[in-house]
Amino acid sequence: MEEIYLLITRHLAGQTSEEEEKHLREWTSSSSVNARTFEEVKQVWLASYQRDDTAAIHAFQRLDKKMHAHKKQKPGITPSGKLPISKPRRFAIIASLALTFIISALLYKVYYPSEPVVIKEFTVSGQKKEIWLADGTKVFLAPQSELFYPKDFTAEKRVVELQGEAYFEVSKDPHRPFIVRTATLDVQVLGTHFNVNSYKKNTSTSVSLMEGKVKVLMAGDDGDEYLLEPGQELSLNKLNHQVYQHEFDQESTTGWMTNTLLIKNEKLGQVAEKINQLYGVKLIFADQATADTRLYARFKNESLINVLETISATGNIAYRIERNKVYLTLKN
Amino acid sequence: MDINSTDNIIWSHIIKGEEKAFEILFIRYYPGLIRYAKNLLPYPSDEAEDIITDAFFKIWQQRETVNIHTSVVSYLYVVVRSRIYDFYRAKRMHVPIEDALDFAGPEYLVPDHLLVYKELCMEMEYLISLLPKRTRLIYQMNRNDNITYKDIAVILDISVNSVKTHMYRAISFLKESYYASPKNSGC
Repeated sequence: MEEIYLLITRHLAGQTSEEEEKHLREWTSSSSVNARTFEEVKQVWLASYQRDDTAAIHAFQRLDKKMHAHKKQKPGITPSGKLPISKPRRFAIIASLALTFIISALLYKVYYPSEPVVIKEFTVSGQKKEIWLADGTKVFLAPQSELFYPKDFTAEKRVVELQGEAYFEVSKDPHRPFIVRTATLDVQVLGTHFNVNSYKKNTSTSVSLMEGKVKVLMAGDDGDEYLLEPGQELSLNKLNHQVYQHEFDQESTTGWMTNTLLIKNEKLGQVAEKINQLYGVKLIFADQATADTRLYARFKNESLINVLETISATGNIAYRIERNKVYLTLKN
Repeated sequence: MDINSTDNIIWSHIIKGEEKAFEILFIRYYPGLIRYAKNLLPYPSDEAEDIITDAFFKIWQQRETVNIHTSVVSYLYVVVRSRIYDFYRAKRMHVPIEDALDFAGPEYLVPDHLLVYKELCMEMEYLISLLPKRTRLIYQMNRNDNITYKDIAVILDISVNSVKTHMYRAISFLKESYYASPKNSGC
């Protein structure tokens, strides 16, 4: 039994070879007892996942600060371990270090005066933030997103960097284009309202235009350009690099701003990510059939319990909550 | 490079000084490293967070000079472990022998225990907490952080076979007690 249990979990973790996959398929299909064992081990594997990245994200913010503070100090002496130094001596060392630091900081300021200060704003699940930039542009940052922007923009252009999703209301300035940079594409505008969705975990990045005009530039050397009209959405599939341009449903795209969750004949598996964004819970499905259940619903400012109750009533699904996870299974 | 890239690809970007890559690696392994550090530290404390942040800071500074022979993940664990040893030295305490934690006996699978568990409403999290310390650590390294048996063996300095034994014990214990609980009959 040992090898087969381990094989099943390694299969679920994606750590098996092709040969092992074949062996497992044969073993699972050879008897109903085996198939049941497979299903049980799988349930245990799914239910025993315990990961929460919130602490890691916060810890990285601290580390990030430390890294940048250090960069500015220039490589210096970092105290490691304690040396047996007498008190007055220690004071002298500290004082001289402090003096060195002050002098080098002053020199640094003189020699590198124009290094732009970059601000990083981020949100965790369920959280939204309204950010005003130096030029009067308003950014509405969606949950689980990050925005990097300079405290002051330069004279030629306004560049911000986005991971995740945000809605932009760019203040007009024809002389300084406003550029939203994401991992896969850049959006260049002069003054307009639009939404950018570039979550790393999503397979596509999309730009949806409400007002005005924007130019979308693909990342990479070829750098294809696309112009968008109001009401149009461009989405880039990150896997096959296919670009789609189509009309979009405004309420569905910007629903996150008004706490609206719109499910239009979508599979629960596809809705899971939106629920995670809004409520900070992870949905765990008992099987594919549960994840494939299609629903039609519209929630505005609803509590998580109400959302789950509705899903459970209309989709014939049982759920239970454990901390920040929701387990869903079809009722028999 | 993105969040799904392998450690090696991410590391190649870190060497070039890309902070984004460093952040991905940090977030990928921070929760597991915290668990590992808390396991090795003498008492429940907040030291683990500082130790790991310091370790990563050092890793960032040394990224261009270090030569990784094993794997990125085992390198991270080794750096963290040596910082923990530094911590013990600074406090003039003896470093505990890791193997002392390793007494994964079979006694927890005795059927009587399972009967007691039946009385309770079993939650997976609770069941995991019942695993012996070392078995739990290994299971979580594999389950949550996707670390291979081979890397776990290198990190903990044990054989791949011991890793497998711990994994098997964890899975069969969780499976037996999970399905023995009345949860499935509507708890």
